[in-house]
Amino acid sequence: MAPTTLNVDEKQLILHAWEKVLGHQEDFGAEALERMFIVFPPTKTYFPHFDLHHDSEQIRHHGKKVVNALGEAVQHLDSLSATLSQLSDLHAYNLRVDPVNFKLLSHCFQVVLAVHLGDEYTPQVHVAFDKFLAAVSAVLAEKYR
Amino acid sequence: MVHWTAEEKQFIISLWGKVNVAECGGEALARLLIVYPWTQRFFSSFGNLSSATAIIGNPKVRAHGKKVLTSFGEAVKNLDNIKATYAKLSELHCNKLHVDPENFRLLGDILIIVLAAHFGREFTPACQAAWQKLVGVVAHALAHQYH
Repeated sequence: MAPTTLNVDEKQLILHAWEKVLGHQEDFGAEALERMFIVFPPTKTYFPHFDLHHDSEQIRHHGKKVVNALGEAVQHLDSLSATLSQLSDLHAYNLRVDPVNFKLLSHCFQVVLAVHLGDEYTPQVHVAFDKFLAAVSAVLAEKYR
Repeated sequence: MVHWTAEEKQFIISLWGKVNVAECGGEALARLLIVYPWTQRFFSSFGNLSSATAIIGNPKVRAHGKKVLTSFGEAVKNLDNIKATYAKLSELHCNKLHVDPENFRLLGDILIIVLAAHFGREFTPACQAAWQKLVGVVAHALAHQYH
């Protein structure tokens, strides 16, 4: 699906919700990755070099990296392509993660948000993040071919 | 037949025991219609679906959501026989309702997020895994009679 633009309200909702993520980037990132590895085992094939035990240093470090990158994207919702250009190159030419996995991690990240935000993860916030994560995923895959 | 470990059954049955089916069902269906608006195509008779607020407050959405999740409960009661449990419903969704089975997967993922929001940390990764497996099996069963 081609990326759709976020409207003004959705951008506000994302920025506002992201305040709850600040300070917890490592925790949320690690939890999202862990959920993904447990719920969708084939995703582990991209991390044969990792210690995938619960709370491993590598998972925490990588989780923090991923969520910080999302944080960058949140600060530049109007220029995702430019903001994520290097990551886009990395995924296309180096990592070559099949794009189907972006959906799986996006889903798990949303589960983490739901777990920690509870009622505040309203349907409106939910759709805004679903669109945002889909847009980020599309940018990461845009140089694949 | 799907194989469930004792642990998976535990996660499913014990969490289900705490689910308010009317509330969760209404919320899940509302979120489906909000997050994936194209799913509204099946509900033209439901009245006002023009905004998230309208959808959330729509009594037909709530009622139907409750109906759908109540039916989901049949899977929980018949974990060892889900395919047979949904054979008739599968035919109905194919022949009468003409619902693309992709929608079952979408609703399944929405339900996971609703459970996560309700149960918080109790919805551990292992618990999520059991439930993802369940929603996947239900989606598969509902699609099984399609031709």
